[in-house]
Amino acid sequence: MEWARVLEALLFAASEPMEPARLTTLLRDGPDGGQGWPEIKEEELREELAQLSERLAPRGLILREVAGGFRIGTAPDLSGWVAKLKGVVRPPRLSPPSLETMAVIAYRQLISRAEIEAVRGVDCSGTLDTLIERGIIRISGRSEAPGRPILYGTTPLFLEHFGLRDLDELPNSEELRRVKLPVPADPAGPQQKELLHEAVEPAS
Amino acid sequence: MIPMLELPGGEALRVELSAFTGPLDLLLHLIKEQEMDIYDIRLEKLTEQYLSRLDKMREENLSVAGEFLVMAATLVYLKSRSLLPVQDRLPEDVEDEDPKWELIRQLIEYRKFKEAAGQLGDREALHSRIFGRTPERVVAPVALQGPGQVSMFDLVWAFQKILRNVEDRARAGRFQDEEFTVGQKIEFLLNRMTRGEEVLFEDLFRTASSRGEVVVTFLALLELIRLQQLAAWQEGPLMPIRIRRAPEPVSENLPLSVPEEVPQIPGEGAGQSPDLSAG
Repeated sequence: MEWARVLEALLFAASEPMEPARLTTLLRDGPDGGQGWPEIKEEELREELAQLSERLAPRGLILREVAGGFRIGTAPDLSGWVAKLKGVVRPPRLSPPSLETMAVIAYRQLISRAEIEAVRGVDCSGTLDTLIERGIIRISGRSEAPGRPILYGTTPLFLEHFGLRDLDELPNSEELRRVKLPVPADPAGPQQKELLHEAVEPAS
Repeated sequence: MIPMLELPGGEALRVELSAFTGPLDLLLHLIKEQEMDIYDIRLEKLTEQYLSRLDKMREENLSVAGEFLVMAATLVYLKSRSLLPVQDRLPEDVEDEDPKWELIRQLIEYRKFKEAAGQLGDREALHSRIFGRTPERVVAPVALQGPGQVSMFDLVWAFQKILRNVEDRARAGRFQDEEFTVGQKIEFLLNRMTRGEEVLFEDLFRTASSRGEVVVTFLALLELIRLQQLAAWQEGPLMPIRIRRAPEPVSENLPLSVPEEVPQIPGEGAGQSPDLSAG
């Protein structure tokens, strides 16, 4: 199938997860002044993606479905070599405190710092700074509560960092989204939340 | 008596309990260690264990973060409260009144998120080992200058990349932040390179172990470039930035100008880019 080669090239050259719809459009439209495959359906594309994933399996690359799209990456067992090439001393992992703050935000966004601190029982400003700097959370709105505290939410990079397709793929998400949270001592609880960015989930 | 509440005067409060992310984490650990049921915690035992743990930390000269002390006070309060024969302690009846239940609820909720954090950590462990293609740099018009010249944008971009890497390094080893001055780093850079020597921009930061050190080193580098002791150049846009030390001592009073002649390396073509991460 000729377009499978095109698909592979697109995924290879992309520096972000490619949504199936976007890939389908690219394949249908074809290059400028050229011919595409107008009849391609998204199911066929997904099938081809699955085959590509299989073809890559014994090789140095893998195909992942992350952040709502597909992305080619290097095989995890080769990380030592690639890290050296890229000058990364160690894979960029988060500290346990940052992971805790990350988990509270991931399940309970949009959420204020006071609410996160009520769960963790410690000051979270440092971990919030780290997560924002890493680009995996962002300020996504302001609460209507007194003082109008800033609310935090995850970014598409969060999904990619943790290899998640979407927020529903978070382990145990049903329960953790329901759990009643402790009320912060500072009564800046969430009432009406106002969005700054509409996209908490990756933009489609 | 709660000896750990008397902190050495003036000492900054700092979490040294790298093993515990906070007082709730420590409590969960103790509950597990004492094989208690979280719904049926023995306050007296738990408080005793908690306080002795804080005490031990103090003996080891570790300073204890304020949150740990607040929890200590809470535990002592709860314990003293439980000793008062005020009411029958049927959990269903006093759930709203008894602050002990507030603590238990908090512990249970915290534990759920702690477990979730652990699972996220596992995912991260796997996925941080997968590298994807990084976005190609957007070439700003400013960067499109004559061959060899490095714009401020190029330098800042390269600098940001270093900053990101050093963060990972710092996290890995929990380095203590040392104080550095620009003066010290100017000296370091001049000692690092002999006259006429050329190194990769990145190599100048290899030994830096903290953000502060990287920033100060960068400032020192800028100062030396301004003084024309060092020059930054690259073969072309997107090529690695190289830093070269002036072959001859230069007067500090020279007017600021961009060097016209680009150092040439024999036989170097655009296709042969030096490895960015050599070394």
